[in-house]
Amino acid sequence: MGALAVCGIALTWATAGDYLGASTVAAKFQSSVQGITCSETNSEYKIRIDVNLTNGSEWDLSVTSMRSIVYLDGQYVWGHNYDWTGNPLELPRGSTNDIVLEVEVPHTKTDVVATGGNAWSIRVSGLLDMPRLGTKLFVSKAQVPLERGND
Amino acid sequence: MERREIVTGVILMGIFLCGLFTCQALPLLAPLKVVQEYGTVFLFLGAVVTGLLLGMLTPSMEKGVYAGFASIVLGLALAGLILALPALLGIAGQLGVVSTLALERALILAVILTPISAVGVFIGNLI
Repeated sequence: MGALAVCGIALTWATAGDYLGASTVAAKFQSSVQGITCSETNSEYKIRIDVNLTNGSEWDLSVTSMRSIVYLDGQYVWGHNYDWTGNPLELPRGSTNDIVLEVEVPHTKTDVVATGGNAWSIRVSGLLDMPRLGTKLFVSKAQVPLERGND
Repeated sequence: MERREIVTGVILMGIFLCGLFTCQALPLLAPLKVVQEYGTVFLFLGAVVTGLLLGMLTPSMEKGVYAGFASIVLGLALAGLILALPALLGIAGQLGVVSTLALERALILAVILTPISAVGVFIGNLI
């Protein structure tokens, strides 16, 4: 029993050490929505979401996919998937990456955007590829002031 | 004296099962490749061995089953403590490293493991 307990302690020690290391890496990854811009061209609306991805860890990470969902006045407007599985967005150690996610509003939703107020909220989620841990989900939610512009 | 031996046995086997529960919840972080791939199988075998040893230690089948169950619960509680370490140490961030699925799986396994350890207790009582 003592020998098995020692084996159990060794297993726990090794796994917990790696787990704490991975958790530290995960804690140093941050994603945040910096801003949102809505532009109109020929009654077609395009929403641009500025997202900041920061990898403050010692590991090289990559983002394989993202999804953005836009709400206006608490009502769902539209969402879009960005799949980069073939060419993941690389986040080397200690790097920061600013990306722009574009959402084209369909014709069925143009009235919602045109008549809606400025209470926009964004939900950005993605899959982060971590060495030895596989893909992990991250989520950022933000309520940001809208900059409306006409192109 | 007998009670003391049983309690010591329960604690030792609980620590043993904690290692297996932790590896099963975090298979990719387990130190050995064989544990990474067959973590659940090892957990089942661990439950049988736990039951077997506690069955040899306890005078009756009933006490052995209780002791096996106590070991499993102790192992699960210790593994839960290990999994909660990042949150307890304040290093948990935006990203969840352990999936809720892994935690649910560990709980379900703990329920399944009790009758499996009882089989071990039965064999241990016969020896």
